[in-house]
Amino acid sequence: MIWRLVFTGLVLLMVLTPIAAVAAEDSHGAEEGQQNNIFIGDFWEAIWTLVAFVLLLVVLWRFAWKPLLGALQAREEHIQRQIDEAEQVRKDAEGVLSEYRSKLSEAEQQGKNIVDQHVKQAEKEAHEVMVKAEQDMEAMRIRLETELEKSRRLAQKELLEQSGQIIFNLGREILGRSIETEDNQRLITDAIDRLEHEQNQQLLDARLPDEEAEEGQ
Amino acid sequence: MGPMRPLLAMTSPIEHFTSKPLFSVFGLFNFTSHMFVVTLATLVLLVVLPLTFNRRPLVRSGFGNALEAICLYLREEVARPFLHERTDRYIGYIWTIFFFILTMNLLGIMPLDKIVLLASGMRLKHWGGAPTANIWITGTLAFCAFLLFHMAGIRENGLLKYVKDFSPKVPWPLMPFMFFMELVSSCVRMFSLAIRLFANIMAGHILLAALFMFIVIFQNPFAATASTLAQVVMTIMEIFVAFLQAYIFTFLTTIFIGMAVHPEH
Repeated sequence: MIWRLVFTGLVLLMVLTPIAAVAAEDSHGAEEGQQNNIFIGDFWEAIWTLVAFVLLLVVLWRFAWKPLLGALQAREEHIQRQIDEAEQVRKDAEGVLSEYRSKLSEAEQQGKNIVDQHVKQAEKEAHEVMVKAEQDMEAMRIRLETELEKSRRLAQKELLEQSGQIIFNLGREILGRSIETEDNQRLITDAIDRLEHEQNQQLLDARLPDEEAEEGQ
Repeated sequence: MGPMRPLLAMTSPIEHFTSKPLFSVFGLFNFTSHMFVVTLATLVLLVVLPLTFNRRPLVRSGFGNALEAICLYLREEVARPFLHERTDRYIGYIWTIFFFILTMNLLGIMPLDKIVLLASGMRLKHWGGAPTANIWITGTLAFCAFLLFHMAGIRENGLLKYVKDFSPKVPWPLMPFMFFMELVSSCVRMFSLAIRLFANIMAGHILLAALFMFIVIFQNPFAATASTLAQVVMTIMEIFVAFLQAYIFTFLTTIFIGMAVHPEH
């Protein structure tokens, strides 16, 4: 832009120099006296300027400055409105953020409570399961022991009966005479009773030290 | 002597920008070259500014944007610090005076008289000049500013308060003297506005003419080249001075309006 101005100025100077010289030749003479007065001018120029300026002021005020001011004010209002809206949006966002933070904190607390509750519940259930399992095991152990005892006694009884029968048969073959069936039965029953009595006595003897120890405690 | 006459004619450094009568208007007064430039500036502004600003786009571009930037600067940086909430009441005057002076300054730099002379086949002479190098014209603009800042002061404060606050608070025996001094000061502001613009523009034109005369005086290719280059540089500076002086006139007018509107400051 500056180079364009410089170039234009140079061209104008080159072109106008001879023109100015010719023009100066014609103007030289009659007006020479006035040419050296730097305050040259008259009152009519002042009036003309005043009229031009007032006209300019009135017309421009109506057709240039008023629309320009309107545009500037509209733009200012537009910008202000956008700033206000942005401020409002920011405030809303801050409110929402605060609300979500509060909700998040609440949810975290709730989650923690739920986890604690479930852990406690699980621990309780696990404990109950353990207790029940122990009870079942104990019951099963007692039942098995009882069954075992019954089986053992039954086996003993059968063993004694078979032993008696064997002894009876052997006696009959060896002695050559038979013992009466009733005697035989009575002998077997006595033997069984004696055996049971001995066993009960053994059991009683085995339990006594344990009970004395428990009483001691 | 014959061939030297055009050259000698150029020895007056003020001849090319001073006011010259062009024709008589009903025998009442002479229409001068400066009146022509004032009229031309008025017409240019009456066409360009309404065409530029009558449309109201949200964002302007190009030349309109440049003009709006100037207007916005004057409104926000020059007027508002002094006029505050009353800025928009006086901004129209401030914009008008700035563009009026700027246009006259720029038309004064342009060799209008030479262009018209060439375009008219050497018939129309002196249709150009620098109106802001005319003390009558700058005086009129300063007088308008003088009227405006007093009217603004009276309008905003009321006549009694404005007169009461016209001079600073001093002991009452000194009051008439101070009032008189303030009156003189107020008139001096007007003269300073007129003379500052007139003297600066005139000085620039005299400088350009003096540089031009080196060609005539020395009649030497080296002097002509140097003179031409110096004139180009000085013309660019004169364009800057045209803007600067328009700004200074506007700025001072705004300060004076602000002082009148806010006498407490």
